[in-house]
Amino acid sequence: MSNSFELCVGPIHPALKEPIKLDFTVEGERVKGVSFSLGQVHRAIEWAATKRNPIQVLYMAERICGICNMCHPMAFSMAVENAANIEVPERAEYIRTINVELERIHSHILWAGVAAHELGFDSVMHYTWRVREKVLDIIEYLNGNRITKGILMVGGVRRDIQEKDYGKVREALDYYKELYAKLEGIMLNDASVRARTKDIGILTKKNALELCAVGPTARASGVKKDVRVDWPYAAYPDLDIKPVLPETAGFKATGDTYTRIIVRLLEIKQSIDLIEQCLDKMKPGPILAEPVLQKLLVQLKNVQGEGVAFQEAPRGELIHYIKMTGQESPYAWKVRAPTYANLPPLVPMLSECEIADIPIIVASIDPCMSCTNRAIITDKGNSVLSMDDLRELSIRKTLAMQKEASK
Amino acid sequence: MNAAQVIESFRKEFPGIEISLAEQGAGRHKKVQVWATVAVKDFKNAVKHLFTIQEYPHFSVSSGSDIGKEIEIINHFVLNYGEPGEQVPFHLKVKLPKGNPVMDSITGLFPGAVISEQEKMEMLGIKIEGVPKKRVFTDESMPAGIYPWRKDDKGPEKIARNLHEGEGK
Amino acid sequence: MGIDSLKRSLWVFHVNSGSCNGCDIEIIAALTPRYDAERFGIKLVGTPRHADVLLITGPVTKQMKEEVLRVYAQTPDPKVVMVIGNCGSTGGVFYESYNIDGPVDKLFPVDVYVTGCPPRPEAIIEGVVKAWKKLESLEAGK
Repeated sequence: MSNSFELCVGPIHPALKEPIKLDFTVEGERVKGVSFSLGQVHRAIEWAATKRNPIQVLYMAERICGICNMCHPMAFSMAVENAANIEVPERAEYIRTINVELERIHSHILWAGVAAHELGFDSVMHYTWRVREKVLDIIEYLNGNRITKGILMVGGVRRDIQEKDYGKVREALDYYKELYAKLEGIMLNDASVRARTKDIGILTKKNALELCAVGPTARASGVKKDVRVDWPYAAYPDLDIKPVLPETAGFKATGDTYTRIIVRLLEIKQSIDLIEQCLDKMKPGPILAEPVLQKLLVQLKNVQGEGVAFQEAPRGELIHYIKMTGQESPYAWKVRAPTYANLPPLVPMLSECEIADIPIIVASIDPCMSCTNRAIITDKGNSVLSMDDLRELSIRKTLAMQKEASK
Repeated sequence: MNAAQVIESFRKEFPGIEISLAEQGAGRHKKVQVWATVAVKDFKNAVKHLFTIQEYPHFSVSSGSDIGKEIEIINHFVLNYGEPGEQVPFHLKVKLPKGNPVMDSITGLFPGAVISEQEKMEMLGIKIEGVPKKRVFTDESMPAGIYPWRKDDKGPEKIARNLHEGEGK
Repeated sequence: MGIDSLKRSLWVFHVNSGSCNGCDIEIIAALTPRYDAERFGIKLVGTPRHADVLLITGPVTKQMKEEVLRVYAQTPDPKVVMVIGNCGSTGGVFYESYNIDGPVDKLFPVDVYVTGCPPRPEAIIEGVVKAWKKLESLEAGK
C-alpha cells in the first residue's frame, strides 16, 4: 500500500474550485460517509479580475479551465455584452456555437477515455485519445491553436471560418459519424463496461433536483435541464435542438453511471448534427460588433450595470456574473462552473458504494479528468489508500467480473 | 408562469419589493431575466415563494460584492427550466449592513446551496445562519479577518503578491 | 539530439500544483498514440520515489506548496525538474494573487522550462529529451 499524495495528478478548473479532496469513511468494502474539501487550486482569479480591464480578464477566463476554454470566455463575453448592451453579429454567434460544440465533442471523447481508464480499459483510453486528435486538428485548423484558442472577443470573435474550410469541418464530422457506432459498441454494449456501471452510483431524480445537479449528470437522472434549449443563446434559437435524455435512445433515466455514459455519447452525436446545421445556415457578415479595440475598451469603461450569462458547457450549466461600475476594471465577477454544482450530488452517489467503484462514480460526473486523484481513503483509521491503489482495486473488480461471466 | 406573471406574483406577495424585467435580443433571440431586491427579513420567504412558480426551481449560485456600507448578496435562481425558450433567470438580491451582516440559509430548501453559502461566508465575511462554517477555498495561511472579496481594510491587499515585483531592478 | 545512449527508460512523475488542466491534458496527449512518448521508454509513474523526472504544471497555490516541496524531496537524486507551461514558469496570467506562492523556481531549481499556454505535445517531448540529456550529464558527474 503506497502513501497517498494529495498532490494531484491533474485536478482542474482551479479557480472554479473544482479540484477536490474527498474523505471517505469506510467499513470493509462499503463507503459509509463522504466529505470533501476544495480549493487546492484556488488562484484568486475572481479577485485578480477586479484589477484588469475586461479584455485582459477575457484571456484569464480562458485559462480557468484547460478543457472548457471556449465556454468560459464565451460566458464571460456574454455577461459583459449583457451588461453593456452589445449586440453580437449573427455570424459571430454561429462561429461561437461551432466552436463550443467542437469543444463538447473533444471533452466528451476525452471523458470516455478517462472513464475507460478508471475501469482498467487502457486500450479504450488510448483509442479514444487517438480519435480525439481529429477534433483537435480541426480546432487548430480553424483557430490556430489546439487547446487555448484565443479567438473570442467581447462583441464577437476574432477569426472567421472561411467558406473554403467548411469541407474540412464536414470531413472531420463524417469521420466521427463513421466512428460513432464503434464507440457506442465499446461504451454501451461491452459486457464488462455494462457490468461495472449499471446500477452503480445512482442519483435519483429527487436528489438531482434538491442538490441542484446540472448538465449530463442531471439529464441522466431525468431532469430536463439544458440551457441551450431552455434559454437559447448564441445561434441555438435558429437550430433544431432537443435536450438529450436517456429516453431519447429508449433507455430509462435511472441516474446510474451507465445512463450518464449514454447521455454523453448521445451528445457527441447531437453536437455533430448541430455543427452541420450551423454550417448550412451560416450567412456571410461581420464578426465583431466593434473591431477597433481601443474604442471597445472606452465603451466598456463607461458601462454601469450588471450582466449574467448562462451557458451549457460540456459538463452542464455554467454561469458568469459581472458587475461594472464605470471604471476600467469590473467591480465584481463570479464564475460558477458546472462541477461546483455537481459535487454535492456526488455524496448520495457514493454512499454505500464499494471502494472499487469510487473511481468510476467520481469520473461519471466528469469532474475534469483526474480530480479523483485527490481522493484520500482512510481504511478504518490508519492506512491510507492512494488513487493508484483504488484504480488497482477497480481493475481487479473488472477482472473478477469477467471471470464470473465466462463461467 | 412567464416572467411578467412572476413579477406580478412577487409584487402581490411582497409589497415593498424592488423587481424589474431585463430583456435582451429580439425576435427568437429574445431572452429575459428578472432582477429583484428584498429586505433581509423577507429573503427566506421570497425564496420559498419561488416554489409556487415551479415545483422545484433551480439554484445556480450566489454571488456578492462589497458595495461600501453594505454587502450585496445575489442569489441566482432559474425558473421554468425544461420548457424550451421559457426559462426565466431570477436574481434575488439582499443587502446586508456591514455592522451586522447576517442572513438566513436556504440550504433547508436547496440542500445543494451549501458550498455556495460557505463560500460567501469565507469570501465576504458575512454570517449565514443555519449552515456550518467551513473554509472552502482558502487554507490556514489566510489570516483571520481577511475576506478576499472585501474592498475595505478587510480585503486581501495586504497579503496579495505580484510575482514580478522587484524584478528588473 | 546529443543523447549518448538510451541506457534506460525515463520515468516521469507529474505534479499539478494548481494548473488549469490545459498542460495536463497535453501531457497525457503526448503519451497517447498520436505522439506516443512511451515508445521511447518514457513512462508516467505513480510515485515520485520511482521517478527520474518531475513534471510540474501550475503556478503553485498556497495549499499545494507543501505538497510540491514534499514530492521534490521524495524524488531520488539525480533528478531533473521540468516545468510545463507559462504559469509554472513565470506565473503567467495569474501573476497577481493572494493565494499563489510560485512560480516553481522560487521553491527549488528548475532544469527545463517548456513554455506555452499550453505547450504542444511535441514541445513537451522536446523538453523531455533535454531533461534526458541533463540527467545523463548529471549521472556522468559532469
